Amino acid sequence: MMSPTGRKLFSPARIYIEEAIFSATLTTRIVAKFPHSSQEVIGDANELLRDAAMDPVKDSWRDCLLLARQRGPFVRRCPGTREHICCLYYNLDVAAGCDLGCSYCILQGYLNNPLITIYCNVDDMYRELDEILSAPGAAFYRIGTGELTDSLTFDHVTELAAELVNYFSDKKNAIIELKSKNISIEPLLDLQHNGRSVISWSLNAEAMQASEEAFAPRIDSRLDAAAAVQHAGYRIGFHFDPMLDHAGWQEGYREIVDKIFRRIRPESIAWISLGALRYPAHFDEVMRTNHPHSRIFLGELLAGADGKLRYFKPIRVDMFRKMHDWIRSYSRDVFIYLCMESKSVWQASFGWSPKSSAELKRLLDDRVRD
Amino acid sequence: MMQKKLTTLAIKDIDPDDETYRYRTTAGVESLITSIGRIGLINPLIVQVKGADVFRIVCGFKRLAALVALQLPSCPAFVINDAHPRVDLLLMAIEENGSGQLNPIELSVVLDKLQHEFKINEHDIIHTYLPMLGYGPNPRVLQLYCGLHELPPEWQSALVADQVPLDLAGEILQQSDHDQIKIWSLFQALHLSKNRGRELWRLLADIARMHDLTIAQAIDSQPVQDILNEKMTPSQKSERLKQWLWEKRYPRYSAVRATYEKILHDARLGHIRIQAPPYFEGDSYSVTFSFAGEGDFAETVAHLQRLMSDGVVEKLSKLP
Repeated sequence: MMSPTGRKLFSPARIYIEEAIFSATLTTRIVAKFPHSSQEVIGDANELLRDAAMDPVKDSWRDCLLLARQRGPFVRRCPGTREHICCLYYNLDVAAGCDLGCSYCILQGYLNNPLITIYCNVDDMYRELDEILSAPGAAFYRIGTGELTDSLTFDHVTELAAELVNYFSDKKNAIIELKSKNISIEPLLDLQHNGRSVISWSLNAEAMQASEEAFAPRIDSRLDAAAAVQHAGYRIGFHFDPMLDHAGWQEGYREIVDKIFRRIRPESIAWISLGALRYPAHFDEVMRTNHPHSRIFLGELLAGADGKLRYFKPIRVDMFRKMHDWIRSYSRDVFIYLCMESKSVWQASFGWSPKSSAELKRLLDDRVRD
Repeated sequence: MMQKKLTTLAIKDIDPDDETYRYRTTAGVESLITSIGRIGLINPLIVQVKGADVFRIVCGFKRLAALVALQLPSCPAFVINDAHPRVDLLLMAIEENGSGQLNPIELSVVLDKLQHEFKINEHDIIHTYLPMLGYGPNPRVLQLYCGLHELPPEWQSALVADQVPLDLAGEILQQSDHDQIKIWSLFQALHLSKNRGRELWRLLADIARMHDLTIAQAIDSQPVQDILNEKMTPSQKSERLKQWLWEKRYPRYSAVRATYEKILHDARLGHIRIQAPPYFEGDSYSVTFSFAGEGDFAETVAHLQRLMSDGVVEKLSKLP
């Protein structure tokens, strides 16, 4: 199966099905889509995940799919980082793993597992969401599925994106953000979303897309998809995260900003986030081992108090300030925010800073609240 | 149970060049020559039938070398037939030698034989053979040890002597022969500890990539050679080299750091100590001082006020 840009879509040769979700509706739907895949019912998904993590031949697992039961909560608050302003986002973990092979992907360090997992007990997920969103005095929630996976890369397998858009369409105190580098947006175009979904794309300079995002669609294709969902009335998010310090970064990122505003109306944009490359120090070796030809580790990355490597502060501020100015040259109203940065970096980059994470949350909520 | 027959073999019938079961790194047979010359061979060799009247050593490479040196015509040997699985014989040889865990180079040789000579797949090596060799069934062992026996002898000796970290040796293995020798020369000249060696290697390798140089070109660059040729102790040279490498690897940070140090130097702080946040990431500087009595305290406070009025605090707060 091919994507609209000719990329081979993930098609599992082997499907492992955890006994506990064997009869789940999503399991049945997925299995029916791949009649030629071999199937094996297993008792405990964790045992298989351990085997996969220990297998030196990781590639042998890349065309396998694990359908498992989500044992923990589906909804988790983004952990944030101490001393930094956080947008107080919630993650909805419907899957774990990705097939895009980006060199900087944090999942390499967190998941340590080549096996793509889809959690099929979605009835539990909807029950959990119902409870959270209908609790007395419930706050406003921005919830996204793009933390442990790309929100759309397995949508041809799960068809969950449209389901989630429909689910959130009548929610007064929440929106769902589908965050992706993919362009499989056709199932979303005719839905009655009522403005309760934000479709977002992760963007980078084209040179970085070519060298660091091995299997992801080109930036122009992502913007074509963004234009299509704009036409369908959705609000759109853009995430320049991670921004990468490289020769020609100014021209590279400026060009993408220009392209955005040639295709997308500012009033359609819910937000644009900026974040510079950062990762836990111990993750450095993992990335170097997995992507020996990448040059992103050669940046001036220094350890912060939280143990994460980040570009030296003036480099980040320079990137953020210039991006801010380029975006502002098109629109004074588009909301721009920084992911995981301190007040001083906000101040130096944008000339202002939220007083707290709570204030940033409120500002973002206001962008999508009715 | 393995069938082996004790017999007397002509030394000339044992192929000394067949290294199917050789994995040990220890050299030197002088003491063995003396011992065998005095009291004879106590432990028979273990050999395997290789062809008609030709045998290969399974266990006893050093003993055979001693026997040849002593020009003895024959020796006692256990003979194993050629049908026996070779992988079992290798494991038996390791067991027979019974000298505890293999050193890194020996393990590398054994893993290489398992993979390439005996065609055992990685899964079986990890889950079956590593535990037999005293290691956990962990793929990381394969990543760390495979290929180490292909390093130049100097690196191998340093690994066996535990003077070089395994992960660093793995990276050195990826370099060209010329670069491997150059790095070794640098390590030797600076008497680097494991941690310092790893630290300098990472900086050097990154700088070489940043400037599209080979490792040898980076080491041969004039500033590095100037440091190596200075009249300093190896420890002082390694410190100086580290500082230079940092300046090249993190040029923008180093420039700010140099400005910061100049501000502090020009401020003549005396016993006051000012500390910037690590890598200038945070916002808060710290000041520490000690005092003995009220007069001393008042003098220090006055000094701090002068730092303010002289613009030192303003200069620091503008960094970076």
